[in-house]
Amino acid sequence: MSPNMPELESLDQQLHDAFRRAELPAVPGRLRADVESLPVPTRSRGRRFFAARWPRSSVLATVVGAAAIIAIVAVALPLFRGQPQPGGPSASASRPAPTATPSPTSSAQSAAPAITASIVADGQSVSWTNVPLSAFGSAVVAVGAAQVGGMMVVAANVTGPSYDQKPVIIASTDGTTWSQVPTTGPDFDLACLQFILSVPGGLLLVGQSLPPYWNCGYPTGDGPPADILMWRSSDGLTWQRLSAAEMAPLDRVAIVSMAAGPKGLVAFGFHYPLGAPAGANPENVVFHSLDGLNWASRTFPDQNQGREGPVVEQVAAISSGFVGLGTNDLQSSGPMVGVVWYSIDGLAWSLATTPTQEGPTLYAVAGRNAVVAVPDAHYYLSNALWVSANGKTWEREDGSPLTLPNSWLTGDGQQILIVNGSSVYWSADGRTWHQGKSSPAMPGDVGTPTQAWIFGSTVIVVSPDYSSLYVGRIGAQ
Amino acid sequence: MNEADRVQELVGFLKTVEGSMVDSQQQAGEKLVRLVSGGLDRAYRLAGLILGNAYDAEDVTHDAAVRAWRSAGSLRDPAAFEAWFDRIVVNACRDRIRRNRRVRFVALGPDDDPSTGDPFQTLIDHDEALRLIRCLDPDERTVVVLHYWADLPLTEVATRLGWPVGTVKSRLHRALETMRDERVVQGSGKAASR
Repeated sequence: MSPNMPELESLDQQLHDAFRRAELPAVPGRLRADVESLPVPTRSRGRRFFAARWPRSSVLATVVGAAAIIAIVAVALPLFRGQPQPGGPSASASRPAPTATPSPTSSAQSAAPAITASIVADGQSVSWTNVPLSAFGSAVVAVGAAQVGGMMVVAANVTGPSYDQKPVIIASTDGTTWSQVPTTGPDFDLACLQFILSVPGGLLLVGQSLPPYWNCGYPTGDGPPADILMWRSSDGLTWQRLSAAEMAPLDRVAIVSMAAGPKGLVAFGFHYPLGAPAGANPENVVFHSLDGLNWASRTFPDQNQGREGPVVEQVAAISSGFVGLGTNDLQSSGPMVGVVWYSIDGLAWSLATTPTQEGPTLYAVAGRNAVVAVPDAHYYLSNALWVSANGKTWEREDGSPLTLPNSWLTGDGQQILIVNGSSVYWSADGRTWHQGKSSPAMPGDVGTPTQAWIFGSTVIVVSPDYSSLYVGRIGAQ
Repeated sequence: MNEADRVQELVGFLKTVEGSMVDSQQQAGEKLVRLVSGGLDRAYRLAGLILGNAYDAEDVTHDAAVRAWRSAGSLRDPAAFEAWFDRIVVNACRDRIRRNRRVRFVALGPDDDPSTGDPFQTLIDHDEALRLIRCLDPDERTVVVLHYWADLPLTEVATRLGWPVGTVKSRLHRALETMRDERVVQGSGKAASR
């Protein structure tokens, strides 16, 4: 064993150290010269208007012409820069076509013909207000949002250099005025929040305990998991931490994803059996609960020919149960493929029939008549979308208004909402999208597109850097 | 002032306004070029660690710079340049991997000499901890590099990849499992050879 790899040193620390001491090469001079010789990315598009369209017949015509030019330049310049325009061309008009080339790799995947989305301009509009989380402390990053009664609650962690910061919870009834909920007690010591969910009778907050001196933004998967922590609240304002005895069913578990819906709560993660040899792989496990207190569990999946390997990385609640999204990487060679599982009870899961897609399947949200999922097309810009009426059979949709990485996607079980630049799109079936205005236009490159929620007439999305909220008011077109 | 003079004055005014807009656009473009130029070393190193060799890293860095140039308008806030450009580089790496299918790194035999040639291969092969990342799939490797080399918290890794944080956690989790297994295998091999 070499000096730089002591047996007892954690792999986590070894990797940090190894990358820190690595002396990496600088970019070759010829490459730098090539890049620096690129022309400045700007062009003059406005001048032609002066030459071709300048009216000279009268002062009135002059003023009208001048106003038109200003309007044209004002619209053309940001468009030329690639920025979305309020009331301008829709995202679908300028979106590049998806270019992924699927290859059949799973018997549960089909090469069925795609459906085509239709977009009609009669949707509800959303007007946005930015709520900086810095008002509630430095280095506050949002985790999630949920609603109880008329109270919207946002949970956040503090990722600053201080290691004794407590999580931040803020609440609002109108989306405009937010108040901080006390988290000063010992129940929130060394706690890092992961999920906030609606459960019967209130809200459930889920997190994990942090070892002393660990920053919440840097949890690692090395070694046995930290203890799971949960808190209950009936109103979003006062929180009660669940006891160690209540958390016993989730002992030695690391949760990767959770969802709550009409059929209860589901959590996917890894279980590290007590007494397992050091370095042994944990089990993939799924938990289900109707109330957030009593949990049943099962190793996952037992439907996939008994083989190990698949991991559900996201789970979403639909009206008939749940869908789980992830990657089937059982194959020893060849690409990983995105897959979907479905379940009506949260414990017994079956592989769904999906289009072929390399890479993971990332997100799913439900509307009244459909659930849509987003496969990771491995491309910088993608509008790939899958649609299913029941979670069991999925079709690829072409021409959807979703544009990764510039769209937020959310659903409340009734409507599916896509927020994209200067437009918002609503759909109940994932096929017909009703376009409305987003005012002002929202930023692009949104970070994690599922950091979005609908609560009645309010939409909340988390800014790309997690440090602020955009709170949207839904209104008529 | 007659009508013709007024028209001329207004034309002059509008040309001035238009000129200042174009100047501002020119300045923004120049700023982007400066930012990309300043970020080239980081981009090259990030690509080299993800792809494992300098040849592909060089191509991908060039490709990412061109993509950045083409999509300059999508960078709203220059302060977010690093995250924006990281994302372009990471996606360019993933495109390259998809094309190449060079997704797994093959362990070198005893007669192979990694010290000649590629600086990234040499670095990775000569460090016992870094050598473990050769056994990772591209997505796992990308997460490991962004988390441990770029020192990004998982929320930031998620932003770079456009994935949910849970996905990043599970990828990192599996990456560490795989590397631990690999370390055990390497350790057994060494013990057997003693």
